[in-house]
Amino acid sequence: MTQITVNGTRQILQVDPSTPLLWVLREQLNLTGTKFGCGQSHCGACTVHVNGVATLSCITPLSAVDGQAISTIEGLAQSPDQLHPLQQAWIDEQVPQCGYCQSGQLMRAADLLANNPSPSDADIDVAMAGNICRCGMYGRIRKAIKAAAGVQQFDPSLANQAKGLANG
Amino acid sequence: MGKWSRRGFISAGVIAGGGLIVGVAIRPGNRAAKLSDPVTADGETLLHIWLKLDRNNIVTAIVPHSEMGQGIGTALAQMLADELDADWNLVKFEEAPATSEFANYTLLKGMISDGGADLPDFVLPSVDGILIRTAQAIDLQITGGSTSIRATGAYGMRIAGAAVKEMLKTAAAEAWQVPANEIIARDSQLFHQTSGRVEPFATFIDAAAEMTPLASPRLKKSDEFKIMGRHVERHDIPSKVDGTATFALDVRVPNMLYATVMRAPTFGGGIKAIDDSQTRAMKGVVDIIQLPSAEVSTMIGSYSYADSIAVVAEGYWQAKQGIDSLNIEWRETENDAVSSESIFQQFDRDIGAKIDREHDVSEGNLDDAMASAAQIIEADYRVPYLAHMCMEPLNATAAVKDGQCEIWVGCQNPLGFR
Repeated sequence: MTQITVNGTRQILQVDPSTPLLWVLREQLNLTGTKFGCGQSHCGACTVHVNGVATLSCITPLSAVDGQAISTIEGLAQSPDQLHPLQQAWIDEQVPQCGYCQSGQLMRAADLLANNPSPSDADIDVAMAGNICRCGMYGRIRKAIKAAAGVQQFDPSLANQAKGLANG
Repeated sequence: MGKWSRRGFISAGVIAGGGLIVGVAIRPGNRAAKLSDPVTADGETLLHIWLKLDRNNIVTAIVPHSEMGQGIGTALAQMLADELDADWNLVKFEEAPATSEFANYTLLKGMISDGGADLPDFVLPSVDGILIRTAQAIDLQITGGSTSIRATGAYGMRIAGAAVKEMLKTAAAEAWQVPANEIIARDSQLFHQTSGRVEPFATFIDAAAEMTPLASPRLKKSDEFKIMGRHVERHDIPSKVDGTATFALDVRVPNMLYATVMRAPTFGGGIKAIDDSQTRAMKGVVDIIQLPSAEVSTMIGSYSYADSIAVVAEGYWQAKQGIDSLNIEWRETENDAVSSESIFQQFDRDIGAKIDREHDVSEGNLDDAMASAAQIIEADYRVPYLAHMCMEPLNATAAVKDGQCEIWVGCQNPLGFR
């Protein structure tokens, strides 16, 4: 028997504890917003939070999260009527195309912003590197993360000035 | 698919003979129960095969295409809404059901010169009828080839929007006892200036539902567009940011089992010997099923499946562990040594030997152009044999009951798939 809290609700599970968290979420708890992409930690579609930390649920056995707090895309909005700032930015910037990777992208980005309220382009690229978007929406993802962070959009001329200052 | 010449088309119409009559009976806008029932809920009325309107004045475009992130549902709804002069905030879309009634005849219309604009009005219902029969015969409901806007949009959505607008205006003219040409449609409402009458579209649903939509209503000129050509937010996006969008893999039916499939690793391969005793003993494994190789022919070509084996289990993880535990000896085939490397070597040999080549496109004279070129840039491009590779693993859900099978699958031609 394993006990976990998912999106604030305690769940007692009679599941083989070696089962990856992904399948517990999708099949036992019917939370299908978290996606199965590769099952081998290569794509990031299955990203959820374990105690607030972005974690690949496809390679995380249930036994490893016993007693822990899990959040999924279904729990990202503050309330049913109030989207997380990232979700709103995702709509404003029209980020998703097919949408299959986006739950994972959003959960990864939420972890990034929680730890780094004003990430640079480089910070975003490093943090998001494990989340593949087959539609290639990386530019919009970056833009939306910055919009949600309230960070000014990247301006190459400022970057060059900054570089000049650094080099000077 | 080849282009239809007008001559070829007309002779097809003559051959269709009896199809003309049947075609008229099932022309777009016919409110036969078969067409209406699968797409309408309480309070909704199908006014055209691609358009329904409800009592709250909400317009729904019924889109015979797969929304895969290309935004086609929103774009086609824009085309329909613009011709209808609808309020864009009161417009939705939904995908057409995979039933023969919703075969997409407009794709065929896209193959006739200018959608048949040069044909006399009185033949158009019959033309549509023939195209519907043809689309049904070949189960045409495909999304591909960049045809959705050009064919479905131009010959389906715009026509539907404009035709329904005419029906609503005619109904209002009757109700208000004023000339139809004095009625203006704007933002999902109808106006009659001199009498000061204003009513939402929905007021005239029942009267409009008695009418037959025109096959060639007047369409807007581009300078009259209000919604087309404008950036709007895609309707499919909100559900893709909160996890509520349902992909094929998210379909759930009561007491469902999960299966995973392993195919022979080479073309022509098959199972020589198998030991599944360990797998059968695993907790959660329900069955192990061998699937023989098969040849499948469709309108877009034929393909073959090698021998496959499926493990059926109570959950996906158990099925996956089950299939990984199988001891399979695969039959040897002549393809066992084929690799990307050997394929490229074969290409090099064939190119070097200048064996017969097929040309997809030929234009100008290559040898002359190369001989007189100021500069020649040479490069080799190699593309390996690879899968299309969307992020969602290929999957389907099937519910078999009372001799019927209902299937949910992410695909680009639901009717053809069926």
